[in-house]
This record gives sequence, structure tokens and C-alpha cells, in this order.
Amino acid sequence: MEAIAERAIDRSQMQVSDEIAIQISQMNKWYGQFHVLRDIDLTVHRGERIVIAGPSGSGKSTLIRCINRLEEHQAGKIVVDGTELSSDLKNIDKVRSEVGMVFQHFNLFPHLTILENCTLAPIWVRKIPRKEAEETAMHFLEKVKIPEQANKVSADQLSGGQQQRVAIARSLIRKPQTMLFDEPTSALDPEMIKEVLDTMIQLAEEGMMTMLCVTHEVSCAGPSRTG
Amino acid sequence: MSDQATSFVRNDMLPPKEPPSSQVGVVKWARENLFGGWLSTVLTLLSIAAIVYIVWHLFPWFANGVWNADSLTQCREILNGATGACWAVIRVNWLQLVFGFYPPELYWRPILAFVLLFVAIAPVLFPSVPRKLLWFSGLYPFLAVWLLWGGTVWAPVLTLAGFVLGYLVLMAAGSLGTVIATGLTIAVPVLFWLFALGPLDDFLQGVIPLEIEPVASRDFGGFMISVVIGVAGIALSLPLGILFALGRQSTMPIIKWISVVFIEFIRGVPLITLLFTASLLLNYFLPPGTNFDLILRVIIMVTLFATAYMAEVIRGGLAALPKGQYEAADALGLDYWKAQRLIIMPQALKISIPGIVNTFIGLFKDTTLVVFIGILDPIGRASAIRATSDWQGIYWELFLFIGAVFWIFCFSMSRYSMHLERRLKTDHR
Repeated sequence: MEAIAERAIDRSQMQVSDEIAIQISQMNKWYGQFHVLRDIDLTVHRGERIVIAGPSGSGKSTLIRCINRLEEHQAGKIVVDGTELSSDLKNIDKVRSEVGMVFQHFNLFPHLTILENCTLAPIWVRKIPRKEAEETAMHFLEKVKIPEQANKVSADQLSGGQQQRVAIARSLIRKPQTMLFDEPTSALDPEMIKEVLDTMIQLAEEGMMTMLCVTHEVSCAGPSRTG
Repeated sequence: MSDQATSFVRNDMLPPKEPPSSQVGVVKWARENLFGGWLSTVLTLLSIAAIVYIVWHLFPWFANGVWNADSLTQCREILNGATGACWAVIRVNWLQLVFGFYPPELYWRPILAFVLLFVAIAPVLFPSVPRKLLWFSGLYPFLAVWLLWGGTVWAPVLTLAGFVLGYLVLMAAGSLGTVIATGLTIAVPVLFWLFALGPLDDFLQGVIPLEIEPVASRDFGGFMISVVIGVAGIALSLPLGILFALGRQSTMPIIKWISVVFIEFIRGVPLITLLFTASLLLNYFLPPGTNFDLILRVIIMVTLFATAYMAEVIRGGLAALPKGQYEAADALGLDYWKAQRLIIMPQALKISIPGIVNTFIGLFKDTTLVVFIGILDPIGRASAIRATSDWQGIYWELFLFIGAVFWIFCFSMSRYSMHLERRLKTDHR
């Protein structure tokens, strides 16, 4: 990816603080010999919402996967909330605790119920008591409008759109400063896309959360301009 | 359709009807499966004839069996020329087949251990059993060893104390970094077992003597030994197999290579050679005078053998998991062990259930190979019985019986695994 991410949102409509959430400078990434990301510079302020659009294979996903270190970068610097990503496990943990991620294929845990999917990280990473974690989870499931599905098992019993909304709730419950969306709607049927986009727009309208969304679909970028 | 002037809309549903009687139930099944055409009709009739013929000839042999006799000659006298099995051989030698030379007045100990085995595995196998019983499952191995081999109560207690010590070290050394903590956690208990266990055992025995009569390994035999080796091998090979499967996928080269070499070496060697190594060669390598129990050596070898297979079975399960599961666990901030325990293993093990149980069943049947290194398992006992003058010439009854007992064990495992698969399928966990 040679071009810098397109600023899809008019800044005047957002509450953007001067604080810098993500600072990427001169970042390069190779897969073996293949140079995927070349000299990426990107500064994201807290509260900013950015859609990264571009053709398939241009490295959009790789870029945001580098931000929570699902991929390593080989040169340059990525600083998230003041923590530089390196091979230091403590820093990676710190960044991941502040950054939520939503995947193209939802990646819900099929062996757990919807509620357990949401409470897993609070209980095991943050050590929050089960009861409290369940209450918070229900709160966020209500927010994405699927509280009645809480005790259902994920994969087969929910539609794609519902699964993706659960995945969003699963990330939100950790109260991240930043949310990364990796092609959140591209595995969905057309009629499901809207419900997921609505959830994302609602999120964008609510607070100061920094949001980065990768997509190759204009339908995703369109509404976010107004959001 | 669009050029038609009137469209038809049905407003009421037709009532449901029964399917035609030739399409349901026994009639349909028989038509489809037994008499589908002239070829399958002929084959069906031939098969029925074959089954009738076999049962016709075997049934009298089973039914005419003689249960009360002291030798094969007596059996033959009682049968007086008719066909019939001589089940008396099993009735007379029953205790030997089950316990070997275990002292008869102490039979209650292996029986108690066997009964408690079911109490110990119940909470592992069935979620409806109270979770608190898992404590007993953890203590059971030490209790069972004490019941079977006897001796002072302090040896198993101190062995258990070694594990507790390791746990305490792990908790205390957690801040020193993963490598040092892991090293200490392994080193401290091993040193404790090697150097402190013997003297402490003697000391505690001197202060509070708690002892039941010891039984030497050479007195073990029969089905007891199969169950001891089989259960120990099954219980140990699953966790070890998980570790080696993870080791083989590790990004740390040393761990990866240790795992690969171990798995490939053990899998490439016949079990019988490992057992001979256990019975003969280990004595040369161990310091003179060390008395390393033969059954323990066999358990170690059988476990290592099953572990290598188990590791590969579980690796298959791991490979079947989508990469997204690992990524989602990472993105949620779970560390390696938590991700394995909460996300990866529950799913990978579920996929591997048929392979795991297959390995368990194979291991349990392979325990009969110990007969070649002089341990009198059921096969060894059977040979010994057949060598006596009373029972010379008998073989069908003994081997059928042994086969039937093994079949019951293996079939139970198979049924349980099917039950488990069904249960996991319905609750997805």
C-alpha cells in the first residue's frame, strides 16, 4: 500500500481531540520477499474515525492487523496510546487491552454461548467477578440489540449480521479506546450489512472512541461520512 | 404465467395425510435394505442361511458348557462325547486370571482401588457429577498406588507433597520470568523426590508408623496388571500428548525440535522393543543397586509410546481449527496458556475425540504385549494355566474369555466416546 489512507470523514463533524491515539511512522512490512506495506505514515487522533478503502490485496487488512500486533512489522514505528509495539510481550498486552478488533469472519468461539463469548476476556484477563462481567455483557448485548440471544450458542444459531454484532459487543465490553474493524461487512449477505453498519454508526455517534475500518465496499464507507 | 388473466390463490391448507404404508416402517426398511432386487434378495437369503448355520453349530458348544470340573479330563467325562465348552477352567482359575499371585487375603485392596477408580473418573467423564469430586480424582493416583503396592503411607504422601511444592515454587517464582520460573518449578520437586523423599519417608515412618503390608510387583498379574498399566498409560498419555502436540507447533526451535524428535523416534519404534528396553537395558544404564520397579518401567514405556501417537492425533485437531480462533484470542488479550486452555484445546480435543479414544483402545490392548517380558498378564496367566497337567490342551475357552473381557472394556470406551461426541455436538462445548 503506497497511498496514505483516505480520510473519509470530515473532521469538523467529529469530536476529535489533539491527543494522538495511533502514530505510525515509516512503517514497512514484508511477507518473505514480498513488500506489502511501504513507508506507511499515519497519525490518528483520539476520537477520529477513519475508513481505509482500496482494492483487494493492497494491504489494508495487514495495516490494521499490525496495529494490535496480529502481524509483525519489520521496519518503522507503531505507537498506540503511547506504547510502542515491539517484540516486548508486556507492550503487546498493554496495546491489546486498549484496542478492540472486529474480524471479517466474526471469529466467535463456537464452543461457548454468546454470553460466554463476551464474558471470557473480562473474567480471565481483567479478573472481573463472573456476575459483574455477565451484567456488563448483557448491557453491551442490549446495545447491539441482541440480548435475547445471550444463552444461544454462536455459530449455527445466529445469522451472520447477529454474529458480527456479538463480535462487536465482545470487543466493546473491554472498553477499548480504539476499535479496529477488518472488513466487518464483507462476509455478510446484503440485507445483513445494514444492521452491522447501524451498530457501527451508533457507536461512532456515541462517544470519543477512535475507529479504524478497513473495507473495499463503498457501502461501508458511505454512511460513515455522516456518522 | 404473467399473461394469464386470473391468478389462483389457495386460501386453505390441505390437511396432512399419512404417507403410504409401503413407504414407512418395517416394510419400507425391509424392501429397501433386504429385498431391493433379485440380487439383494439372493444375498439376504444366503446371509440368513450362513448365520443360521454358524449359530446352529456354535450354540450347543456354548450352551453345553461344563462349569463344575477340576480338570479337562473331568470335563470330557461329563460331556461324554457331546460337544461342549469346558468353562470350568475359568471358574477354577478365575482369581488367578484376575489377580495373578496377589496375596488372597489382600484382594480387598485392588478391588477397593478398582471401585474407587470409577468414583475418580466419574467427575471427569460426566458433567452432572459434582465438581468437588475432582479433588478426589486428583488424589486418586496416590491412593491407588498405596492400596496396590502397600508399604508406608508416607511415600505417596511425600510424592504428592512434591507436586504441591512445585506449585508453590511456581506461584512464588512467577515474577522471575517464564524461563527461570519453569526451570525452578521442574527442578525443585525433582530434587525433592530424588534426595529428600527417602530420608523423610524413613523419618516420618519412625515417628508415626502408618503402614499396610507391601506387595511386590512380581506378585501382580492377570487383568489387574492390564488395568493398572492401561489406566496409568491413558491418564498420563493425554496430558503429555497435548504438551508434545503444542511443543511441535511451538515457535521456539529447541522445544519444537525436542518434540519432533521424540514423536518421530517413538512412533518409528515397535512397542515391543521399548518394552524389552524397559525390562533389560534400563538396568544397565541405571546406577547399580537402584531398584526401579518393573511395572513402573513398563508404564513409562507404554505411556511414551501412546504419547507420541496422542500428540499426532491432537496436532490433527489443532490443524483443523481456523486461524481466526487464535487471532480472536490474541486480540482479546488472552495469553498463550489461557488461549490454549479456554479457546483452542476445548475445540481441538473435541475434534480429536475419535482419534484419542482410538489411541486409548490401542494402548489398552497393547498392554497384553507385556507377556513377552515375563509379566503374567491375562495372556501370560492363560499360558501358565494351559501348561498345567490339569488343563493341558484347553485353549478356546480361555482366550474367548480374555477376549470378551477386553472387548467389554474397549467397547465401553467406544460407547462413551460416541456419547461424548453427541453431547458436545448438542451443546457445542
